[in-house]
Amino acid sequence: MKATCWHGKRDMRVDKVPDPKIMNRRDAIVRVTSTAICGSDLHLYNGCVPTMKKGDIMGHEFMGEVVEVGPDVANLKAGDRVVVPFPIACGNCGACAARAYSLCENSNPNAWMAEKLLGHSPGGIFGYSHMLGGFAGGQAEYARVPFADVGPLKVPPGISDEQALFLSDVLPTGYMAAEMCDIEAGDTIAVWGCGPVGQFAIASAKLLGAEQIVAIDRVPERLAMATNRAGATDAIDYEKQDVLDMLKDLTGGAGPDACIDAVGMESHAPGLMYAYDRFKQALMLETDRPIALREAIMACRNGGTVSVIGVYGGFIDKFPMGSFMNRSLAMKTGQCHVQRYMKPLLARIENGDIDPSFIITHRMRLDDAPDGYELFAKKQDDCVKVVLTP
Amino acid sequence: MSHWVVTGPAGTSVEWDSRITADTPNELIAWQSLEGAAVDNSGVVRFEPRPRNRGTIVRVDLAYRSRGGTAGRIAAMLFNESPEQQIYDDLHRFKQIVETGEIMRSEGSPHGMGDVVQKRGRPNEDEATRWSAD
Repeated sequence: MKATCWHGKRDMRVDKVPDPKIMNRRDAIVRVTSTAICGSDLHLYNGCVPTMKKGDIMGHEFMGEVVEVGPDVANLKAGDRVVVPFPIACGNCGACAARAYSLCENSNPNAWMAEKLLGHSPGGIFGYSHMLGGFAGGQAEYARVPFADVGPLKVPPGISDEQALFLSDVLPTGYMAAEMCDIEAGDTIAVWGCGPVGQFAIASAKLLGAEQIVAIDRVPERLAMATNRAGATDAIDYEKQDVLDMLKDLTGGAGPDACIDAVGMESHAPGLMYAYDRFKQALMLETDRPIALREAIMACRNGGTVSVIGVYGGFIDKFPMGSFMNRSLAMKTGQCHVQRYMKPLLARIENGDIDPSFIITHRMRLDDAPDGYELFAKKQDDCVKVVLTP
Repeated sequence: MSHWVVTGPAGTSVEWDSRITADTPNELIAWQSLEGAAVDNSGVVRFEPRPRNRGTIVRVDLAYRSRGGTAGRIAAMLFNESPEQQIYDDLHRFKQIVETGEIMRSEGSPHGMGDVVQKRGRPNEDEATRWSAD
């Protein structure tokens, strides 16, 4: 089969690889009908994530038709149309019982690798380095799905691929970002990063009762999408305006009730702080650039919550701990526990509360995946989300 | 009593007999290798309820001493520089079997956790049945 494979920094290639096989009794094999490139795939593309090997199959946002099931899968059969969550979860460990699916205790065969860097291992993820399991991803014609009786969600016939695909990752992720803000009706929420997750965080904040939602980015098309499609009430272009001043202005000086970092480790900003972080990265003294995170902390009102949904991999420098501690802030964070949100969000899609397809700007064939990565990474051609069809 | 056969590098193998010295249901199992074992070893597996009904903690204490010679060298290689890591991997695999029925495999780690590092010792078939989880 064909699959998008990692060959090094900024080197994605579509290779011919062996078809996936059933390896565990609760596996299923899915013929992929639609798959997307994630913002966090760009961290792999840019060479920021360790433990990748040449030939690793990419992709953790995918859906399709079940073609084969392992002997212990009772709930699915060949022909079922499913969307697959990106965290791999067994359903039976302590973490899964607590519905913290991205923390599954059994789904990372390389847990020892993650433990060295992170202290403890989270659960495995499709197509996201050997440290997180060494699982082949879904930017391919076929994918092996472990614990198929726990993860995949059946998609009803009236819902198109473009409406359902984002249940795999970005829609639940944006929703969890908003949910972590503990929004009370009338709250002000500020969102750094208007990529797909930021867009859905904004839309979810609105669904959850926020009255004022401020979108922060530097790409005009993304700010426009946030305001016109996602439901943001205000937009700040951080290259043209001072973010902290604007947020104070919008909230009578108090600051937002909660701040969402939907940017993560490859943050960008004009000026000295960015130069500082790039410099320290070059010297290998810092691995991640937390520019948006620092700003989100400083901006947040006293006693408010910082919701971190952007992905980080290693260590950050110059964390405003003084601001965080002295002002009683709280931080909530995590890789999205997608399985928790898929059913309720599907219901939202079915009754028209949200149509997630609004973020799609580019539709390409799987063969063109390398071009898709480049477009997305460079934010060319107003790119927000690339969907690939094999 | 159980008979253990451990395979080593280049087709070599080491064997010994062990005896269960203590067996308290839901609490512990202890064993001791018998006289003449190439690798003297003894150990205890303890089962401890975790607070708040969050499952069972399994603790393994293992002691071993290898005689010199080929058997000793094989034993040293088998137990590796990090016997703690080996036991940890075994316990993690045991947890996977108990909670999911199988050892988790991935395309990048098709043998599951740590198994590719080296072969591990296997008891004879009867014992395997006795210890495997349901």
